[in-house]
Parts: sequence; C-alpha cells; structure tokens
Amino acid sequence: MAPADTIAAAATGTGPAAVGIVRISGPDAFSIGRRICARWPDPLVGGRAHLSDFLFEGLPFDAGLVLPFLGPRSYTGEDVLELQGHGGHAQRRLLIAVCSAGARLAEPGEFTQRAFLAGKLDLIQAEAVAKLVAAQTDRALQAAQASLGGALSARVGELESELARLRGRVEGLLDFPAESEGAEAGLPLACAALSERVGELAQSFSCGRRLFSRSEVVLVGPVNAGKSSLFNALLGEERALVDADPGTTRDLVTADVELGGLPVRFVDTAGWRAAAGVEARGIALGREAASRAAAVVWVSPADAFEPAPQAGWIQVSSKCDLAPGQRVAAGALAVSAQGGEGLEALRAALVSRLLPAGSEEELLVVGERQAQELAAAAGALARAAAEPAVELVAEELAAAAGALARVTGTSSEPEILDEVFRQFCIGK
Amino acid sequence: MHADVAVIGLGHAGIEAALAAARLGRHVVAVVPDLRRIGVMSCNPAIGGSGKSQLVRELDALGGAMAQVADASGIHFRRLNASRGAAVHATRVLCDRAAYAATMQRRVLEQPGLEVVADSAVGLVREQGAVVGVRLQAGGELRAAAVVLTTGTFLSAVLHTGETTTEGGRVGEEPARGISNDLRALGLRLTRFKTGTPPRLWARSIDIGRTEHQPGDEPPRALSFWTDPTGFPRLPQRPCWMTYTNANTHEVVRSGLHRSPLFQGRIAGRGPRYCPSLEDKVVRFAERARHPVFLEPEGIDAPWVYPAGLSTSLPPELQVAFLRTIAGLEEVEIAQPGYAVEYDCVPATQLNRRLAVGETGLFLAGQINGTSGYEEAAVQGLWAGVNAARFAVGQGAWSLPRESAYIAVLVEELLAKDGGEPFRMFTSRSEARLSLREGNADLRLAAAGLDAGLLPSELHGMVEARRLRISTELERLRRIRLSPDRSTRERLVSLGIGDLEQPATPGELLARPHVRWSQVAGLSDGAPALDAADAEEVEAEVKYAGYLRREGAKQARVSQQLGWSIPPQLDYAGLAGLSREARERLQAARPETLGAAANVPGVTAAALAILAIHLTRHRGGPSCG
Repeated sequence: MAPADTIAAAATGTGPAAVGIVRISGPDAFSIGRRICARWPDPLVGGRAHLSDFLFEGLPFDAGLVLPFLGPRSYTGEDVLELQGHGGHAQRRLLIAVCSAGARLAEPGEFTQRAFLAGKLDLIQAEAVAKLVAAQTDRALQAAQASLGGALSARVGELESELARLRGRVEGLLDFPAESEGAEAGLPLACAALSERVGELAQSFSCGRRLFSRSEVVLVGPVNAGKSSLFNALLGEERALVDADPGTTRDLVTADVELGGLPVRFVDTAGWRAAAGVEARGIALGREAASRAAAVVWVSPADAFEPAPQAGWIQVSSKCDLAPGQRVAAGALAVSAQGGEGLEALRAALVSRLLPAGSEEELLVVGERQAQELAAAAGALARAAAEPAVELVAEELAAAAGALARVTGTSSEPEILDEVFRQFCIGK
Repeated sequence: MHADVAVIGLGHAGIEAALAAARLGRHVVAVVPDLRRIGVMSCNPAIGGSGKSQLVRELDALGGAMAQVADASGIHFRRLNASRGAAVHATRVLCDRAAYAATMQRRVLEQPGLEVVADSAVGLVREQGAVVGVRLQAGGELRAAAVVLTTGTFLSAVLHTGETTTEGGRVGEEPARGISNDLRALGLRLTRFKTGTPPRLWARSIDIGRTEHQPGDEPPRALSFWTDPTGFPRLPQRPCWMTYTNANTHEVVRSGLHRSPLFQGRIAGRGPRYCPSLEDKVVRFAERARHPVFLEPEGIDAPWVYPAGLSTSLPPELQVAFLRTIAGLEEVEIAQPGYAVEYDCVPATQLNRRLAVGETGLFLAGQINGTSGYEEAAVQGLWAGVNAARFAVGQGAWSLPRESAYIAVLVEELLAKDGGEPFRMFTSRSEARLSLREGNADLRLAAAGLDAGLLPSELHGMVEARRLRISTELERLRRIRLSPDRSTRERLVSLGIGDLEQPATPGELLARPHVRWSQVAGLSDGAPALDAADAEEVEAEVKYAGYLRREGAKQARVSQQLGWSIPPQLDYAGLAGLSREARERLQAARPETLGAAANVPGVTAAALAILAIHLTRHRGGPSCG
C-alpha cells in the first residue's frame, strides 16, 4: 500500500446530529471533492466556503458547506477539504461516498501525524491535540490549549539550547584541550542546575495528569463517623445509604464529579472496626482503596475524635453540628454534612492537595511520555554533574539531549512517534 | 600511457590512494608536477591531534602509510587529553618537515606497482560520459580505468597576502588550471573555500626564555601500531614553546583589518571555523583576552619555527608588528609571511559512497571534497583508492560501517551534508565515541583490512594475538571475588584502590574512577605482563562497560531498523513531509532497505525518520476504501 494516499475521517461524532463534518487530506483531496460536490468553484480559493449538493454514484443525497484549505497552508500541510453536511446517516453516507471516490479511512491520529511530519506541529503540540480531544473539564482544556499554543515547547526549547551550550563547552574541552583554559570550572554545578530545572518540569506532570486522569479520593474512618453522609454532601445527592446503625456501608461506593476543574472520583468505604465475614472484607477493600488513592480523607466524629493513623491524610472532624463548642482537633477540618458547614474548606483542601498551588498552568506537562523523557533527561544531567570523567559527562549530556529532542520530536525514533499517534482515538 | 588507476596529485590524499590501489595489485600511475613535492606538509608540521589521531590510527590499521612515516620523522610526541579517559586520548606528532617528505617520497617510489610521472594534469579525458584519463601538460594522455583526483588546494587557486593576490596553490607553486571546467562539464557544482597558514619565523630571532617550555612525552608513544619499539624514536626529540597573544596584539590586528583580504571581502571562499585566522579570532572572540600560540620547531636543525594559532593573511609589515607584541617574539623576524589560499572544491554531497562521481570512473579525495587537514585527506585517499582499484576491475563498492570507524563517519557526514565550510573531524561527530578509540583502531579494523587485501596477514595475526591477550585478561579480572575481610581491605587501601564493603571482583574495582589496571592486576593469580597500550585497552573496556552496552543496544536497534525493506512500488512523491530534494533523490535511487536509503546522498536524518514512520505504520496496517 502506498503511504502517500488521501485520508478521510468523520470530524464530528457519528451519532444523530444536525451537522456532520467529514474531513479529507492528501494529494487527491480536491479531485475527490470535484467528484462528490455538484458545484465546484474554479479557481479554488483556500478558506472560502460555498454550498453544494453532495453526490453518491452521481445522485445527490445531501447538501452542505464545502470548505477547501490549500496545502501547505492547512492543518496537515496537504490539501485539505472539509465537507459539512447533515449528521447521522447523511454523514455516514458522505464518508462512504468520499472513500469510494478514492480516499482511505484515516487511522487514529493520522491527520495530526501528517501535520507533525509536515513540520506544522512539534510532538508536544501533537500530543496536546490528543489531550484536547480527551479533556473532560475546562481546566484540562486550558492546559491542553496552552500546550498546543507552544508554551511548553518554548520552555523545552530554552532548556535544549542551554544544554547545547553546555555540550559545546564540554566538546570544546575534549577537542581543543590546549585552548580551553578554565572551561572545566563550574561544569558540575551547571549540569546540576540544569538537571534541577528539567526535573521541575518533569515534576509538573504529577499535577498535569490530575487534569486528565480521574483522581480517586477515598473516605475512610471509624464506623458510624458519618463518611456516607459526607460523601452524599460532597456530591449534593443521596448516593450512599445512610443509617444511624454503625456498619451500614459494606461495599465501595463511588461517584465521579468535577472538583475545582479536576475530574475526581469519590470513594466511600466501610467503617473500621473489628468485624468478620462480609463486613471484614469490606473494610479490607476500603484500606486497599486508600493505599492507591490520590488523596485520603480521614473522617472521625467531633465528639470522639481520633487522629488519622497515617500522616498525609486530610483529617475531618465530622458531625461538628452535634458537638457545638467542642474544640476542633489540631490539623483537622470541622465539617457538618448536615448543615454544610466546612464543606467548601474541605473541597478547597482537596483541590490544593491534588494540584498544589504555584504550578504554572500554562507550563504543565500533560503527557506521560513527555514526563518520562524529561525525567530521563534530568537523571542524565544529574549523573553528568557527579561524573569526574569529562568524556562520560559528554555521554550523559548527549543522552539528556536525546531525551529532550524526543520530547519535542525534533529527533525521534519511529516507534515513539507511532506510539504517540496511536493514542488518538479518532481520526483527528 | 595506460594505467588501471591514475592518481592526480601526491599530497596526503593522493599518496594513500596510490599506495592502496597498488597494494590491491593494480597498475597505478600517479602524476605530480615535481617529485620533491610528494608528501609535503603545506601547513603545520604535525600529524594527529584530537579527532585526527583516531583517523590516522584507523588508516594505519588498514595498512596506510601516514602513521609510520610520522613515527619515522617525529621529533616531539605528545598525547593530548592524557589525564582523561582512553576514548579521548589523542596522539600528536610534530615531524621534521624535511624528514617527513623524504621518508614519504621513498615509501611512494619504492611501492611495487606504483609508477610516478612528473607532469601536470591539465584536463580530464571524457568519452561517452565516462572519464577515461587525463591530459598532461607535457603532451599526451594518461588513460586509466579509474581516475582519482586529489588536487588539494591547487584547483584554480589564488594566494592572498595583505593587498597582494597571486595565482598559486602554495607559495612558489602553480595552481591546477583547466580541470575546474572539466568538472563543471560533468555536471558538478563547484564552490570556493579558503584556508590559511601562519608566517614562518626565524628560530634564532625568538627569545625562548620568555615562553613556556613544553617537552614531549617521556617516553614517547608511537603513532603507528606497527612501529618497532626498538629504535623508536628514530630522530632526536625537541621541545615546543608556548606563549600567548595579548591586548596589544589584538589592537594591532584590529587596526589592520581594513587591509585584510578576508575583511575587505576579496576572499569569497568560506574558511574553517575551527582553524580560524587570528583576524577571525580577534573579531569573533572579542571577549577573549588572549589566545595561546604554540611555537613548534619545523625540524631537528631547521632554522624555522611554526607559530601554531597565528594563521593570517594581513600584509607582511602588520604580521611583523603584531608578532612583536607577543612575549618571546619581541625581536622576531619572518622567514615567510602567512597567507590565505582560496581554491575550488566540489561539495561532496554530489558524490556516491565510493567517493565517485556516479559511474564515470572519476573519484575525488582530500581537500577537493571540502575537508581540512592532512589526516582527513589521507583517509579519503585510502577510501577512494580502494574503491577506484575495485572499480577498475569491475568489483563492487567497499566501505566500512559507521559504528566501527571514524573514517566511515567522515565519509558519511561529508556525503550527507554540505556544511558550507571546510570539514574537520571531531570525536563528537560519532555516536560511538567511547568505542572508537585511538587505542583499539587495530582491533576494530584489522579484519576489514585483511579482507580488503590492504593489510598483510602477519600484521593481522599480531592484532589477533593482542585481542586474545586483552580478552583473556578481562576474563581473569572477573573470575574471582574478593571478600571484605580485614586483610583484603587493608591491602586495597594500601594499593590506593579504596575500601571494600561488598564482595567484588578485581574488574569491579577497576571500574572505580582513577583506579588503574596495574593496581588491580596482582589481586588474583596469573597476572600477565601487559604493555601500556594493552593495559589501557583493558581499563577502557572495564570503565566504559555500562556505556558500551548501552551504545551496543542502541546500535542493534538502529541496525535492525536499517534492515527494513522498502516496497519497490513506494510512491515517494506523496510522502508527507519529505523535502523535495530527498524525494527526488529517493525516487531516482529506489533503495531496497532503510539502510540503503540512508546511504543515498542528500537524504537527511529527518527524511529517514519520515520514511521509517511510514514503514512502521504501513507494515501490515489496515486499509480502507
């Protein structure tokens, strides 16, 4: 199969809808358009839309907007044609018409891949497109948009040029030993400083990923502490059964919500006490959920408050309405699921736990692959800082440069690129 | 006159080309205007140095002459980067200029199968698109099945000193005329490069008391693997001296810039960034307070000194003026002023992997291909010479893999990109610096040398014996494990190896920074008596082991990828993202594998990546429509 073919995909969802868009990219995009569109402008002007009937086997089945983009001034750098007809069945029909006129169904991410190959996007931006499509909250959308806009690429670019200067210094030492007086002084320090900066960027992924993958927040505590009431209050609806009898919750109860722009899954668990049988298994499930959670909320009643058994858990002194005047235990939030008191403070505490303040949102690393490469670069730079043999410092710096280049895709092995573009679930 | 292989020019490239073709059994006729010009060192009297010693040692492992001749005429041997690891050690030899040329002349004139003709080539003889010989100045033609052109800096050359411009490739020597137009007629694009050389100074006018004394290494280490240690060094050894330019020097240079042909724009050719003239240094590195100057003797008893670092084409009176601002040179007198030379070269992106112009039978090597340096020229000479010899009898191309030789790195880089300036070798040009060491060039290449018919089997046998010594010792160092008992720990500390906490093999101890083989050799029984070169190889293999493994794994991945086959019907015209140039070249060449595509001139790494991506995506991928 020749890879230089023309691809097509549904650019909008294929369910019933008022408008359905099909996008075509490749050398034959316009000749296909000419066959499908009853009206075809001559000369063709990029970016100017016109109305036309759409034909299948010579017969009109739908009508809509025809929007051509002339390569290289298009998303993919190739000739691109957008056909905006009706949604649902008409759109499926349009896609079939386009394919039988010579286009091939695009593989996931293939439009963006072509844009990358044409130098329209770097790899960070290409991955941002995938994230943009996958975003479930406004904040995630903003972060992906910032990445697509090039803020992260620019930062990585800065780090790359700094690294290039450092490498120049080291290579000068090795290649011009007689003429590089004093070039060795301060080298470890410079490597360490750069390692730290690259490392910080890699670290930002721990925040970035909170925007895109759902974080689990698990409620644990003694029986009858009011975890399920708190759970329902946080959701604003009655999801978990609540009863005054201790030990009502046995199984894990989960609910997905958006919390301060982050996709979050709250998990209610069985209360802790000596128990047997099904209840004991429920308690074990809860402990396990807590061990892998992004945040754990320890709920204990205000009138008999016990501190959390583990550091790092958010402590809630619950049912504070039932114990007025009671002093709130140090480090705990007083919350009343009944009156709503303290709920906002708890939500805020959770958001700042998941997304620590001070992280620049326009510079969040949102892709795991990018984070891994950045961490690898930081590691190589740290080893360079500690390495006494200059030729091995040079090796580590080269490894760091390779990792940074793979972040932006300026130098990448085909497997990596392929992996990146396979993350797309649609023919974007 | 008829030859299998004709070689035009007997500088560093021509010599190795002629010798290699003759070693392969061809009848070689070499043309040089004056037999006394064979093997002349036009610029500095040194062979080797960083990035270059690796090339010369590789050439040596393939039977080349340069390293042996440098050993025979060397008067100052020094290992650069001696305090660093083996991967960046670089031997540099200062030669007695007259002895080097004389030794080389003897070597060339004694080579069986090689005939030297004192004449000048004035044009190429072409028949039906092929180059079948050269026209000679004295009249007549030299016809050959293959022609190797090594014109160095002589092709349509012009010399510049201050405001004076003369035709010539070296002072007092005529340029090569006529050939440039014949090259254009073959469809080649020519470009103009420049290089320069410093003034030569009268030794007696230098006050060495005001300079730093720089002795050679004691004992000196030979550059060639084959130099007999008894009777080495052959010539008495001489020191160098080091001094520095200063603010006054730079001021004089700045004041004369308007009289420099470089800055007046009269020199159109591009010069090497890495070997800049003093004018360049003063302008481009304005922040540097001083530049080092190495005063190198031109011979055992030579009256001239070569001031390395002071290449210039300023008018002679300004050369004297700036020289006299330098410590030790206050009363210096110039024996021959520095000058710049501008010459035609052929961007090597137009050549194929044999360093040939298509299938015409014309091969190019040395500075004509846009390189700088004796060593860079010599290795191309060997490469083109071997390929011309094979071409002459209808044999296929000869090459070396990039991961096993700097020579291959050089050829590949030269073919791949037109750098726009004279090409100089650097160790950083290879991805495999840690394994391409000057110390193991013989281990890397002797087998290839034997296979090609370049290296006699007895020399290959010596290399195999060395390989066995080294691998046996590496094995021995891994065999026993030392326990951290009290007596062992005390012994290790007293040997300067440091303390032991976990059981370790002597090899693991050798991997520690600064630990030498001699310290760990005696820790287990049966320590062999290794010479310094073998011990260094053992150290390098142990100390770089982790990195070498990584390098090897990466290499394996790359080689595997290079084996991917490309469908013969692939339509390059529509490959998204491919540059027009890469597209046209691939379309014309139709390589069968990714590796073959990599060898198509003008195909960049980016183009390869694009090709590779399409191959991964479309190997068995689904299709529609």
